[in-house]
Amino acid sequence: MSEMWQSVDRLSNMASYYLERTKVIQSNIANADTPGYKPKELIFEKELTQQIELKKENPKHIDPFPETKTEKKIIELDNFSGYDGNSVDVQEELAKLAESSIMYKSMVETMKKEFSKLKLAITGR
Amino acid sequence: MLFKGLEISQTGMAAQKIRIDIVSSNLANINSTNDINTEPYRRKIPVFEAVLDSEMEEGKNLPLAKVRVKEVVEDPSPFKLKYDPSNPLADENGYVRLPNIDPMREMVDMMSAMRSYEANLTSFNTHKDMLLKALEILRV
Repeated sequence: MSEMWQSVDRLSNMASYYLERTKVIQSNIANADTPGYKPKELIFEKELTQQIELKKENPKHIDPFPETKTEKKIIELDNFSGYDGNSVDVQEELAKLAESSIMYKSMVETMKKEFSKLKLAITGR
Repeated sequence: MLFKGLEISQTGMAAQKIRIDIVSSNLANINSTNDINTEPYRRKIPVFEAVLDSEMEEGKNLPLAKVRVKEVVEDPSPFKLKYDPSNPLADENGYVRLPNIDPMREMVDMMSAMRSYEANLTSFNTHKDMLLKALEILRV
C-alpha cells in the first residue's frame, strides 16, 4: 500500500471491524430468547510490528510509524445466565451496538475527509 | 456478505412475531373446552433455536447465528378445574376442565416478545444506517 492510501487503509480496516462486530452483536440480540445461547464478542487485537529498520543518524529523528497488524478474535462471554442457560443482556448488547455504529460512522466520516484532502491535492483547489 | 446483519435481525423479528402470534392464540382459546371426549386446548410454547451460520470473511469464521422457531410444544401442566355441574361438559364430580392458560403469564410473555422485537428492529435500523453511511464515501 503506497503512502498515500495508508491512512485510508487503516481507517477501512477499523471500519470493517466495527461492521463485523455489529453483525455479531445483532446475532446476540436475535438470540436473546434462545435457550442455552451464549453471547459472542468480536475483539480486535492490535499487534505492533516494527517496520523496516531505518538508519537513525540523529537522535532527533523519529521512529518510523510502526505498522499495525490486526487480529480479530471471537470470544464467548460467559456472564451469569438465567434458568434457560441464556446469558444475553439485551441492554448491554444495544449499548455495544450504538457504540459500534458510532465508531463506524466516525471512521467513514474520517475517510471522507481523507478522500477530499486527496482530491484537493490532485486538483489543486 | 454485506446484508447478513439485516438478515439476522430480520429472523429475530420474525421469531418474536411468531411468539406474539402464539400468545394471541393462547389468549383467544382461554375458554376453549372442546368436546367431552377430547382434552381442552393446551397452552402452546414456542422453542427457539440458534442457527449457526458461519460467515467466511478474510479466511475467518464469524459465528453469526440466526434464530428460528424449532418447534411449538404443548404445556404439560394440569388443566384448570371449574365446578359447574350444570355444564354438559362436566365430569361425574361436576368439574369442567378448562385450558391451562394463565392470562397474566401470557401478557408478560407478550411484553417480553414485544421488547425483543423492538431490540431487533433497533439493530436492523442501526445496521441499515451503517450501510447507507458507507455509500456517502462515493459522494466525495
